[in-house]
Amino acid sequence: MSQHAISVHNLYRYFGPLKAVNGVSFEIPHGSVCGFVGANGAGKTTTMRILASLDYPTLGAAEICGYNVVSHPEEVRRLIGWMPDHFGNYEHMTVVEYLDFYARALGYKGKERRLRVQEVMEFTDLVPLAERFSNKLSKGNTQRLGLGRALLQDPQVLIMDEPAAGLDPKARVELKSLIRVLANEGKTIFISSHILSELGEMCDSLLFINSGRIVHHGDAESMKRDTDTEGGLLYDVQVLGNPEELSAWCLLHPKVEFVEARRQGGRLRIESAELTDAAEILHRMVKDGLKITEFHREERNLEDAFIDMLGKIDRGEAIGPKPPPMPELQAFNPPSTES
Amino acid sequence: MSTNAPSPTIEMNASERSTAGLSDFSDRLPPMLVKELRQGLRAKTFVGVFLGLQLFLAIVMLFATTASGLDGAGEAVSRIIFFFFSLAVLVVQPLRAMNALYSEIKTTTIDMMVLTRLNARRIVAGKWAAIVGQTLLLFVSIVPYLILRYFFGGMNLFAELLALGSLFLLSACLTAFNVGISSNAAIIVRGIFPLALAVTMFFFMGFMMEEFDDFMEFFALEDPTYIAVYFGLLIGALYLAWTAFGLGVGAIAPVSENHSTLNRLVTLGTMIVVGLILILADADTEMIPFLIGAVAFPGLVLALTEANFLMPRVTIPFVKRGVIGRFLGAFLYPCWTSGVHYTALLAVIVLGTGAMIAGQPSIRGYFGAEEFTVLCSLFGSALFPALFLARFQNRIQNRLGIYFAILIGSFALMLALIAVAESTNADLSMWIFCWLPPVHLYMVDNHKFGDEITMMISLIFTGLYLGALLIHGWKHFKTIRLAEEEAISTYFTPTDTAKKS
Repeated sequence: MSQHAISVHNLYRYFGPLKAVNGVSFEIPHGSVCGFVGANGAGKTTTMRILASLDYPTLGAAEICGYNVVSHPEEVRRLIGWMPDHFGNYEHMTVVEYLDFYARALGYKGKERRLRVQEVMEFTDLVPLAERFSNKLSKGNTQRLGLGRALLQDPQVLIMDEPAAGLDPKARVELKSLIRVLANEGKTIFISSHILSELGEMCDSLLFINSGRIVHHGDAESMKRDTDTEGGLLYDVQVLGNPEELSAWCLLHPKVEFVEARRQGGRLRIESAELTDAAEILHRMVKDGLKITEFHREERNLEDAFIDMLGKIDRGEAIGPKPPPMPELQAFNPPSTES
Repeated sequence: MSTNAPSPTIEMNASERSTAGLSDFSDRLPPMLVKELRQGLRAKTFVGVFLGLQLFLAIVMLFATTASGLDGAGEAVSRIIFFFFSLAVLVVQPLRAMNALYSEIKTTTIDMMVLTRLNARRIVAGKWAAIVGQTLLLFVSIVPYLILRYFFGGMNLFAELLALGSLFLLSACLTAFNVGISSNAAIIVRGIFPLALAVTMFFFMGFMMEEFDDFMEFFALEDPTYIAVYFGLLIGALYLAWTAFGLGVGAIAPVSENHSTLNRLVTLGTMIVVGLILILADADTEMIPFLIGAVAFPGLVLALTEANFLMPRVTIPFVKRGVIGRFLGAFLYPCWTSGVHYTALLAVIVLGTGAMIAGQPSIRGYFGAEEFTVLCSLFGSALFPALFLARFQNRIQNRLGIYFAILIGSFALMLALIAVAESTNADLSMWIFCWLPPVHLYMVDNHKFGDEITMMISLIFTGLYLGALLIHGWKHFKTIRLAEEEAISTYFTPTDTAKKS
């Protein structure tokens, strides 16, 4: 058995002049949950599609449990479950028929097939919807169906592209608990999401991608630590009256930075980590006539870390390892997967 | 009954109940067929066609029965059966395949399918089989009407059954063609060809109704020439369906699967078979270069629209056969460079056949400079779009779509130039555009340019284009060389050709 469930080395994927994936390398050990984070167009979906053997790299290698996704797609396809961000469902086909079709296509026969469909429907709570047409389901139930389909062959590696996109809070909580159960079963889960707080709770490690490059790989804490170059502590401050008075006040006080506006106040960064300094600043605000209704410390979250990281990139500061220049090997693009 | 056996109606839980109906189709049936039948039999189009045909034929029979004393009532019924059956199986059913693969690609459901144990061929075959299965249902459903029609008299049972069977076969080929090309995103490929075929079938139906007696005489197959023509048409239809089918398979298969080699070999084989049939049927010799050229065209298009991307894994069957295998691979690997070599081979066969018989007094018919120019011009026209693909290949994703856009565009440009030249009486100015191969067709038809000179011009430009493609292919020959070297180093030990893993 290969040491890593997922292994990517110097992966490039160019679509003409567009560098969708630009020299990406990372490894994910067996049985871990890895979150894949990046802005829209950062290269998440392209990387995931290559890992699922649905697209081809322009250069570089990607392996699932030691099998190269391009040269051994059959083996890779037996090991993975793929859940895309959105997928079409069939007309005139019920939920149970949909799962039955994929169970047949995966080689299940007779009683074993029916039992596998039952197990998956019970796990994803689709039994009450069994006779509903698969293209008439709500977004949340469609995602359940997609998860059920991905789980039919009991995959070792589950690749999930934005599974929580478009879900209501209840459906998100349910999906999160299903993923937690799967993680406890020892499956390797590679999941992308925009909801960073949820990823932070679920994932053993986080992989940040920007403009086709990996800019961070580590756990949530290291992510927060590594990107916190500003230092200091964050505070949520609410005021009575005009909240713009708070931002104006901050401009006059260099040790306090107004990070972002909130409904009736804002989020401030106080340069010093000493609580006495925070107390002094609060005292000065009150003295200067600000009617403070709330003043409490906030933990730095993943969204902050992500925003800080993007800010550093925008400022041209070096983030993550620089990709090696792509060797001039391929004269042409690999075949398009969207013919 | 054993006390341990649960009563299915009482003791099944909700989950068991939900899957109780999943035995409606046997495990022996291909999954794709089961899926398509479950969907298709609920689809309004098929149900509408099926019920409409039944209702209409029932009414026709009712009227025919009341008019059975009249002369020709039986033949009239036959005509009506044939017309509506043809409409259903040659027009409606194949058109249903128009989006068969593209709808799956567009909604990304094809991604889910290819991740299962179904390979690309089984997916495409399932799509095709489901529509043909429904067509078969239509075919079977009209048999009772044929039996009734028999009692009206004047029926050539063999001819009518063979005709109906051939229509069904033609429908299966058209469906395969449409399913195959439905994998392409370009509307110029996916839309125009099926619609053009549907229109052609409409004309064919009109011809069939008009010449119904001749049509039945043909299907009686009493003349040996008819038998040769019948099998020639059959091979042509099957070949075209196979090629398009291969296109569909290639579009959704991973690059580690090689479907091109078989397609190229089938093209070469069909060219030989067609040539032999024409010789055995004592057909006009002048037809041979044109017909084998027509067979070569789909193979040429597929070869010239390949990507220049070769997986080392697919070279293994060739590499392990040594120098001969690698030489054959240079023509048969699934990539652009080998596609160019393969095209050169087709050019040698097609144009070589033309050159061999050109001007020969012993041949049946006549194949002179004019005919050779037409052949050269058509071949050059087929090469012309590939020059653009070669130049801009790293920017083009849908090669087939661009190929046909340029091909159709070049013929449209030729027509526009002719219109301008003739309206201004400046037809000799067409010399300026002699680099455009379709223009040679006009030049040879016009005769003002001189047949021999036009032939030379056409031959030179076709040769130039082929040469340019070959030079471009050789410049990228390292794609083949690197793949072969990697295959040798990865899959073979220096002393033993056993696969490492």
